Amino acid sequence: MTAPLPKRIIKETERLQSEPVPGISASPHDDNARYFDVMVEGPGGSCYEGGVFSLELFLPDDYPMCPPRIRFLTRIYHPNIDRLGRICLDVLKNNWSPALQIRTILLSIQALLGAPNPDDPLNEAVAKQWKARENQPEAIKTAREWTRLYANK
Amino acid sequence: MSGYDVEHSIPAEQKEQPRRRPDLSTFFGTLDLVDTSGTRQPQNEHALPLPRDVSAAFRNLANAFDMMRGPATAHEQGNNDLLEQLVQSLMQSAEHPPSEVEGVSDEFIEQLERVPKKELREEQSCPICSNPFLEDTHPLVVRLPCHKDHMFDLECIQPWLKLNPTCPLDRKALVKKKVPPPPSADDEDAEYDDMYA
Repeated sequence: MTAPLPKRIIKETERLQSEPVPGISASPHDDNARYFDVMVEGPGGSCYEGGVFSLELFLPDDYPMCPPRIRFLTRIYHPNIDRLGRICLDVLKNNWSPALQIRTILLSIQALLGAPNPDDPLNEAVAKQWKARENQPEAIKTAREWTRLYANK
Repeated sequence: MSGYDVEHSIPAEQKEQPRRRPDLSTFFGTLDLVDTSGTRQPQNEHALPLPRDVSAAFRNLANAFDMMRGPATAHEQGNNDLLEQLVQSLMQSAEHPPSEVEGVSDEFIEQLERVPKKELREEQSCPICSNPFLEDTHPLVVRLPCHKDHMFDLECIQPWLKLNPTCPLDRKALVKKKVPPPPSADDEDAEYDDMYA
């Protein structure tokens, strides 16, 4: 567990601190520089607006050959995020590329909040609500409600 | 949110194994059996690795990661959840093995265009390790065929290409479907003689 930290991770971490992405913060743990506490603000105009969501991010030993592992810690009502906070997002799986970075991945996650994709669901129940035209207002109301309840600053 | 162990009703005493580094030699042994890229191409062009060997490669790696998990301390709970996900996805691949490992051949990597040092500029860096090429006194930089600006340290791009035949910058496929090299006439004669002499 004491292998030196790759330069790329050091550089990414420094840049995350010195030029933070608006609405996103990521800070490494003091005792494990591969483990980050992440905060993502719900995008304006979405049903997650006003919420601050906390996530955990871990860079595996083979990063950047493999994607970072990311999970929502805050409860969220979203068709592509399951009860355990796991995220269904192509760039975190098959479409990962070592040219992507922590910041680009977090931006993708923020974009996913702004544009839920119920056609590629991880959370079947939520996706079903989201897809049925007559239920959609209800689903969006629930998402707003959960944001207010769980994603407080 | 309740913890992973609670959700999966894992009793506490199962978490007492000591943490240690996994031994990956079994994994690489089984990987050898299923890697069919380049010169590792089997003699029979239609031969595919046995699904059980492909399964074994994934399962071995899953076991190694599983061992790495070790005991859960409150602090590292998160990491262990993530490792568990990885183990599960590997086990899933073991259940439904892909018919081939997809990476490019060693020959493909050897034939990539090398970029001479005098062509490299100060501000150019490797998209994978993000270090400027010229920081290295003897940079070994290759250019992928998809675009003239898609340059990488050979050392960085190689492990990626061995598993994924795509450019990290534009995801373009770098190889067409694998075509076995046509056997030369001499080879065939030699084989013929062997069998019927």
